[in-house]
Amino acid sequence: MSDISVIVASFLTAGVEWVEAFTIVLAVALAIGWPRATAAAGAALAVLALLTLFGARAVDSIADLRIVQFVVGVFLTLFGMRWLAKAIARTAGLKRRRDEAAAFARVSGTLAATASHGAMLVAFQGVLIEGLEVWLIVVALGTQTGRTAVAAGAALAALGTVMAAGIILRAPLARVPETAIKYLVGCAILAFGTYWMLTAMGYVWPIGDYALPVLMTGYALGGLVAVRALMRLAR
Amino acid sequence: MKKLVQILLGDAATLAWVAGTILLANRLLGGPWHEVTGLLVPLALLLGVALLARR
Repeated sequence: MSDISVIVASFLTAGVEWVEAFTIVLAVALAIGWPRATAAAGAALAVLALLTLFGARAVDSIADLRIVQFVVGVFLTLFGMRWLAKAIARTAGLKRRRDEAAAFARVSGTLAATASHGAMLVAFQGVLIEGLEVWLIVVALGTQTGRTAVAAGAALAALGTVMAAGIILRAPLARVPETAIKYLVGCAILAFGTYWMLTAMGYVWPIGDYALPVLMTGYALGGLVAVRALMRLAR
Repeated sequence: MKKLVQILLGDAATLAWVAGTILLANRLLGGPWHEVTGLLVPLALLLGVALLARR
């Protein structure tokens, strides 16, 4: 797997999670001010950085990498299935599209009656929970490809991009087409999960590494068929 | 902790579907090296995704 593939996979996946985390931090910042909201988010990021460091090392020390590959493959498959299912349900109109503005208003309203320590905890938890999903991807990609630094760098770059975009826009990022990103990322994660899971079980892909883009394309096209079928059922 | 487990494993239905797919690949098809595994497993997973989306 090339550096570029790792960077793209990590950057896109992390970007979606950071958008959700940033919405929460933004709401908290408007309630208790940027310094305390940023401190809480920074603390969560520090915890995530430690997890990335020790998580990757713990996995590295396991002798049989096929076991790791299988476990990571299963996690990614589970993760990818849920992401893709959510995006398909939203595109087919079975589920309301995520409205960052509504999420922001909900969090803001709750915070009006909350003490500043509670608000800081909200920001900390929000960044930690969303970031844990980023951590999973960084550890998974890093261990499988031996490029933890590249994957972590891309995830950090996504964080920087989302923060910069958020600061410039000063709005809850409602314009980011989250469902479209989630659909594509879901296909990519599911493809990686399927590929690693079966490879770890001893399956030899007839077309080697080219199976990955084929799987991604297959899931994307299959997902579109599912969207159409579900739209017809919903009528 | 509960949230972490939830993030890792998802809900019972997704977990059961993936476990069933692994069994399909490993047992019913006569081993994960069977030539149609690479086609049937993604199709099974895609069907699971469609069912999940419908819920």
